Amino acid sequence: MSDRKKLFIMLIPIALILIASVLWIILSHNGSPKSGYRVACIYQNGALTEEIRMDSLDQAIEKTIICDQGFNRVRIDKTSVSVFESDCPGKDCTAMGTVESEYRPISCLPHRLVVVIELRDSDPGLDGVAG
Amino acid sequence: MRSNSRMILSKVAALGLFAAVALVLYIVESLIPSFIPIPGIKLGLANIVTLFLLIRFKPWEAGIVLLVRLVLAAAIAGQMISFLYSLAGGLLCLLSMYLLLIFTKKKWIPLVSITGALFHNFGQLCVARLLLASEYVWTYLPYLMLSGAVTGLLTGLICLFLHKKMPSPETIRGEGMQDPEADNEDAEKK
Amino acid sequence: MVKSIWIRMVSLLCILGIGLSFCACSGTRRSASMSLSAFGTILYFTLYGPDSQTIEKLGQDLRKECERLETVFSFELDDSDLSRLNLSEGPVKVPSEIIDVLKIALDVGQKSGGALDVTIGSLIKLWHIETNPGVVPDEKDIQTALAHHGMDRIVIDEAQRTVSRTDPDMLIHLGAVAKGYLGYRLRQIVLDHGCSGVLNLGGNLQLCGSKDGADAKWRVGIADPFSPEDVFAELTVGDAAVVTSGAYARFFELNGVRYHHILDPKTGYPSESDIASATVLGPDGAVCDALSTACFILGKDEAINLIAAYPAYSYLLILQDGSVEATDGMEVFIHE
Repeated sequence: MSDRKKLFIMLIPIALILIASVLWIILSHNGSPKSGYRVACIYQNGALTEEIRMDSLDQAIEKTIICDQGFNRVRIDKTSVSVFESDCPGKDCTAMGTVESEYRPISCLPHRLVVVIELRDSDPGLDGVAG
Repeated sequence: MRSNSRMILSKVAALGLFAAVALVLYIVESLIPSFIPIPGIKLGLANIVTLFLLIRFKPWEAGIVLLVRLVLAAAIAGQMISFLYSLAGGLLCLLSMYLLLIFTKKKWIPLVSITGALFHNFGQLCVARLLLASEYVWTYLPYLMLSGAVTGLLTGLICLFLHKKMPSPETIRGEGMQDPEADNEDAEKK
Repeated sequence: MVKSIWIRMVSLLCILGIGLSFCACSGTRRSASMSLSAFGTILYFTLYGPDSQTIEKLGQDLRKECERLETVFSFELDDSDLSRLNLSEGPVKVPSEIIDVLKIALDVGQKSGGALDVTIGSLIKLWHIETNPGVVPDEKDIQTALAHHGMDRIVIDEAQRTVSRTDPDMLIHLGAVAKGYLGYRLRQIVLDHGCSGVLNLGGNLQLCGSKDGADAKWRVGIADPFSPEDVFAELTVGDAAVVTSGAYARFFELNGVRYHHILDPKTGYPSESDIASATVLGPDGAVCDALSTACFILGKDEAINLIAAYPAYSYLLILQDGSVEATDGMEVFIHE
């Protein structure tokens, strides 16, 4: 196999991955949905433990989430979520600051916690659901 | 026998030195505040050592140094979690760079290093996925791929520079103190 | 070679971007969503109107009306008109809204043989479903509460606009009808502003006007009682109210038994029937609300009879076995 060929074989996947990454980031920062509403979701150990609809919050609410390894304090308001206090060793979660976009999770690895804004869609096309 | 043990000694000394260097690099980079507060974004400076060892030494020697560095780093940081994290990343990085070095016959070091860094970050993300049991970790992937490419390029260039500029391979390999008699002994055994 | 791939990707992205932005500015009608917290639940409105100012004004007026009606109908607030009525003796002057609602409730109550009963306020209080669920009341207390209910204990004087309770221990609770009535009032406000929309009042849907100003109908989903996050069926509906009663909205579980919030006035306990969820559609939201509650308590056969007495109204019953009973000719599309 010639050297040039080898170079391409190496270069192309890397280039594709990088381009895809750039596109992914650009696309994920675009477009708020027209239908659907945002909920702040709290996942502990992978399971959804709480879901709070954000547009119904006139004031920010604060929640303390306790797990075996420690605690996290979360603030949720109409437009954003943040973890503002925690006793975890790395403090990656508090360093993340305030997140306003959907699907940008704030995670606390030692505490197995993920706080993220998700989109709930009433079935696109449906004008409402009774029940 | 004497030359053998001397060889081993000097090899151990050399590897120990590299492990120390890797450890120091690791500690230094963890002191640098992360511009992107996403868990796992580290410059990966310590991989300079891993790559260098893969080029100049034997792969298992690079592996040992990696393990030693990881264990010591975890002991110093006091956290088992970061050990798992770095273990997965470090091993994947090592493996991918080793294979790629064979494939490229040790050319295009920066590309090898970039690939290693991408695998390193991917490995860390996989562990995070397991620990958090949440699909959300994958949203970090594009950011980690891009930062991995940048740091990989950086470490690759540094490694390339070192490889070209460092003193003769024999000395670094720890074989410079070969006993002439050992050569005769080996020749007779064959 | 690598370069041309890059160029192709970039142009594809541009085309996508342009296409997406076209979708965003389709139609001349403006729409807006709002939500507010009232009546113990969250209300979501999707409003369509000729321009943003109208919609904004509409939103404010809707909010005002919700707040106003809450001061009329709230069972929990001590200074609401309803509480005034519940705490006073003799004829009490009440807003016309209370009389309107009581008349509907009494009518449905009578036709349903007492299944719908707005006089079980003391029983509802006993179960605390809305405030502090989790405790099953004593049988004794339930019987005491039941002794003090009965729609014959309400006397309405329309000329004087007064209502009196002949039994001071009987409390009127309008939870089964109030949200439907709210929808009925809000709809009028929406139409008065020249707008249309979908009002979701904690699960009660009030459709106002028509979609897109033309004669287009709305597409409405009915929640799956067995899996409330999913949609069980879809209906095409015009300008009407769609109200569903089911056991899955508010409940608590104790020792493996589920206690939900719709109490059967005959037993004093959460109702049990062959119906998992009862949906009623029609022109008046309050009537729909009353009928759906009554149907849920009655069970399939009696529910169908009850609706027959209200020709302008249609029903869709999802039974415990998963089957569906609906008014003839209803356009229903059942998922799966």
